[in-house]
Formats: sequence, structure tokens, C-alpha cells
Amino acid sequence: MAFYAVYIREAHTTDVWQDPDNLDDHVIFAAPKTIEERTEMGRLCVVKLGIKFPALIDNFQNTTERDYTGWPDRLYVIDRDGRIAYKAGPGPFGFKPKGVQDTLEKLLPDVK
Amino acid sequence: MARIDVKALAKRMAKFFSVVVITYALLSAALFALMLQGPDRFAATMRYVPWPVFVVFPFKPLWKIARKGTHSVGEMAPDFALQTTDHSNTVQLSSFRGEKPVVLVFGSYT
Repeated sequence: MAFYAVYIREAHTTDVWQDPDNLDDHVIFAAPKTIEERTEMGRLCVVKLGIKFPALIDNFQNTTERDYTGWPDRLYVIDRDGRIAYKAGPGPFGFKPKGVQDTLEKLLPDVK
Repeated sequence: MARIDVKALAKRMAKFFSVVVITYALLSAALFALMLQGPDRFAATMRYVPWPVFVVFPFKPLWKIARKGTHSVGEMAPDFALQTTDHSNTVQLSSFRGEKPVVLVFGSYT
């Protein structure tokens, strides 16, 4: 199986909608204004959150985020045929990794 | 000793609760309409909305419906070709067809 983080537009930036919890955690950033800034922010996200699998950057038109209704966060599993095998509810409430685990166990019964 | 007009009191109470229920329904509908506007407008407006709104109004169920999305389980996943954060590679989702499942984790830092 392959894992990819898809870095999409920010959810709680200082200039749009600052989350008070992020203030406590010192996660205080303005929204990227260019694709270069978004890429840089994506790199920072990977490092700070300790993401161990490859991360992809959505384009500045947010095409992939729109196609997948991925904002602010969301989990998907795509099966071998390219079909959606698992679609979590919209984040943050629907961000439930157990659904990914259960789906992968069905798709890959030999891998536990 | 003054007598309480129970009938009049009940009428006033009913009127009061009707106003509360209608106001609650209208504000919930406004919140739902805002959720349907998409992330940019939603986030730009929510910055002015106090956090207790998340508790008082049925935010979670409305959010689940508003952000349901257009694709369902069993449908073909929308294809994409996106660069990795280090620009070392472009990943096309359809390149995995017939090979292996792919887990996608959408998110951001903030």
C-alpha cells in the first residue's frame, strides 16, 4: 500500500480564522499567498507534525481539495481498482484513522 | 392576594418558546448556508463567530451534511498529479491502479 499526505489550504491562519488552541501551541501563521509559500508551509507541516510518509502539495486552485472535499482534513482509502474504498467524514470530527485500518485489513487480508 | 392568570401565563410562555425555537432554527439554517459556501468564505466569516456557537448550535451534524462531498464509496477516485513537498517527484493517483491501495491524508498545519 502507499500512504500520501495531501497538504491543502490552511484551516486556521492568523489572517483568516485563528484557532485559540493554536495560539497556546504557538502555531501562528498567515495564509500562504503564493504556491511557493504554500510549498514552504507544506514542508514545515511535514517536519513539525513528524509526518513519515511522502507529502504532496495541492495546487493553488485547490483542485484536489475540492475534488475530495478534503478541507480542513479528511481520510480516504483508494483500492487497487482506483475506487474509493473508504471516505471518512469531514474533519476534524470525522478524522478517524480506525476506519482506514479496518478498510486496509479488508483490502489486504494478509497484512496485519 | 393576587390571582395568577394561568391561561395568560401559558400563552406568554408558548409565545416566548416559539420565538426561541424559530430564532434557533433560523440561525442554524444560516450556519448551514455558510458551511455550503466553501472553505474560504466559511473561515473568513467564522473568525467573527464566538466559539460557544459550536456548542449551542448543531455544528457537527450540519458540518457532516454540508461537507459530504460529491464522491461516494465505490466510485472512481478523482485522479490527480501532485508534486511532493521537496519537488523530487510528481505523483499521479491513477498510476497505482491495478497495483496497490492508496491512503490519502488531507490536512494542513494550522
